[in-house]
Amino acid sequence: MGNFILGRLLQAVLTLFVVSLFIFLLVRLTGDPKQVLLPIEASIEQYAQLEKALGLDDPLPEQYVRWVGKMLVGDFGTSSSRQIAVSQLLRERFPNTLMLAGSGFFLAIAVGLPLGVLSAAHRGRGTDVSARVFAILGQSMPSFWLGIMLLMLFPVRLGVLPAGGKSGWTSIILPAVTLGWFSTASLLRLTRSTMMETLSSDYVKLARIKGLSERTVIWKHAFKNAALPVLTLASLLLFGLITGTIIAETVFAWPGMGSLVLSAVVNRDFVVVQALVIVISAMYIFGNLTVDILYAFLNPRIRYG
Amino acid sequence: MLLEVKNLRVQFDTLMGLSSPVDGISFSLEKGETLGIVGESGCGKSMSASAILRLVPPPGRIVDGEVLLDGTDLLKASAANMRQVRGHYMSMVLQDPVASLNPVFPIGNQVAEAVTVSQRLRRRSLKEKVIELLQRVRIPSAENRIYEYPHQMSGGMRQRVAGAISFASNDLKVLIADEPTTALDVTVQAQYLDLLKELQADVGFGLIFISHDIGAVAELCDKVSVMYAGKIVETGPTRTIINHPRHPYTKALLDCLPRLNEVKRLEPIGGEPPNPFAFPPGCRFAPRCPRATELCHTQYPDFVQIDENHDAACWYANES
Ligand SMILES: Nc1ncnc2c1ncn2[C@@H]1O[C@H](COP(=O)(O)OP(=O)(O)OP(=O)(O)O)[C@@H](O)[C@H]1O
Ligand SMILES: [Mg+2]
Repeated sequence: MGNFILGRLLQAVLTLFVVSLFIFLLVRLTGDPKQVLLPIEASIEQYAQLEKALGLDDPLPEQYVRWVGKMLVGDFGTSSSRQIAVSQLLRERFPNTLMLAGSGFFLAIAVGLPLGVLSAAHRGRGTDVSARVFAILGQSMPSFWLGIMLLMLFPVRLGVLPAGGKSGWTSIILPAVTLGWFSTASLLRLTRSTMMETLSSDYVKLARIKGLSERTVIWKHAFKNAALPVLTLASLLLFGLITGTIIAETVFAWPGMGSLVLSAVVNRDFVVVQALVIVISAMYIFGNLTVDILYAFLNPRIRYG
Repeated sequence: MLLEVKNLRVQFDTLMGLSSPVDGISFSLEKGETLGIVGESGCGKSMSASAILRLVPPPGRIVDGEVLLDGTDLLKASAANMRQVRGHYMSMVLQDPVASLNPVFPIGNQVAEAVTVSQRLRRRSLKEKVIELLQRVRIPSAENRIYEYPHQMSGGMRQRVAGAISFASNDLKVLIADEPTTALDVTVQAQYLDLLKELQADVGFGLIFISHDIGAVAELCDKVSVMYAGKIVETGPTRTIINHPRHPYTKALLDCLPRLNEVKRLEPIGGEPPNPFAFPPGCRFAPRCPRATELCHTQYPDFVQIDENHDAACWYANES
């Protein structure tokens, strides 16, 4: 087990290295940040000065090493469009996005998972039919449209729940539903189909032959086997949620990273773009690592294989 | 009477239409007795076994009949009572016992679970009981193997674990073994049958032994029921069925099954068993029967009593 974790860890670090190299080169290939940073009428001396200040005249390897070194101590540079430290921006925005994504994820787990299990256990009956309608709705409504509909129904029509911004815990409900319904539906459907499979397996039949209660049969014997694919999807969904908040954040004016990414790209604020992409990639890579390790704990065949 | 099954019928309502893979079967079993059920693949043996334990997979349903255990109809029992019955009195070894162990739990855990349903034991004595059960099915160094996962064991060993699970209860009355040996090689098969016999002598449960292997049936069973297309077509003492079969299907089946200690040319039965969605109106074997008449094709024959314990459902059962 120790070897397994160590191996996966090395793999993750290596992946992150390759990704950072890629981002570094890509940002330098797609345009000259100096032209964005300086006004059109700037002189050649000003260009040279800026180049020196940003270290853009040094050889690339040196720039790369400096960039990575600074990031390792939490220095992500300064946003050119906002004139504040990127780390400061991240500190402000990231918790909000995490909170929103977390709420969406909580919704997916708390609703999608049990509904999927119930749906499989009572297939063809009322619970199953309503759960499937709920899932189809979630997967067929585009989230910008869903967001606008929710906005029109609750704050505008019924006068309940805040229409936007971040104020008190109720303000997260609508953006979380907008963000999370799709994931809830995906998780529900996958849980349902894997549970159907495990519920018809011989080991579930044997569990019933033993005289175990239906609850033990479903949640222990069937669900623990269904949990493997469900867990994989759930983790992918989580990263999808964290990195996919742009629409929900925009519709409900939620002060997270989604809007930050958008404005950084529009303003060609390459320091911010660079930092956001590397942070998001790191989250993705180490998130996957966590899932792999959890997976191995759940599935003895991987652990010993 | 320990177990009496009367007119048991299982129905599947599917997109392809209605089918009755088990279509009104009846038999009985005394304490300590062994009943063999034989028949071609797909004739409904496993489904009958599932129906007796009320574990027919959806969308299948038991639509008719009675399953009397010590005179109580299990089909009328509540779900909770039925779980008690499964945990204490009736058990089953599935046709593919190797697939019947849950891959994500250690085997000791899975045996212990079966024990706790019928007995309240402290941790220590539970572990001892699990080891004892595993030793009983001759699993070597059982105390170390309880921590192993199914995929770490050989097929034969997993088979034995499934066996240990099936008689974990102290008050087992009926054990159904669904072709318990087909997945094993010959030497292991013989060992397993010995084990089964020994346990039955010990515990005294009634055994329903489903098999293709007429040799194993002859060795183990007191009586045999022959199934064809969802129905039992002949029942009788094992010797009689093997030596003096009356139903043409039984004869055909005996001719094509390999027998122990006998070198004989196997003659496969011509044709195929009928589609369960469209059973023929008369005798279901008529389309393949060499001596079928007009009557056979139009009317289903009732059981004809040949001897005290020997019945055959054939219009001409008394003629040969
Ligand atoms: N889930 C199901 N839905 C519909 N029909 C089924 C289902 N399972 C089994 N059947 C049908 O029930 C019939 C009896 O199957 P069963 O498994 O009892 O046969 P069997 O006698 O045990 O055969 P084998 O010797 O191959 O084990 C078959 O015709 C099969 O097609
Ligand atoms: Mg079978």
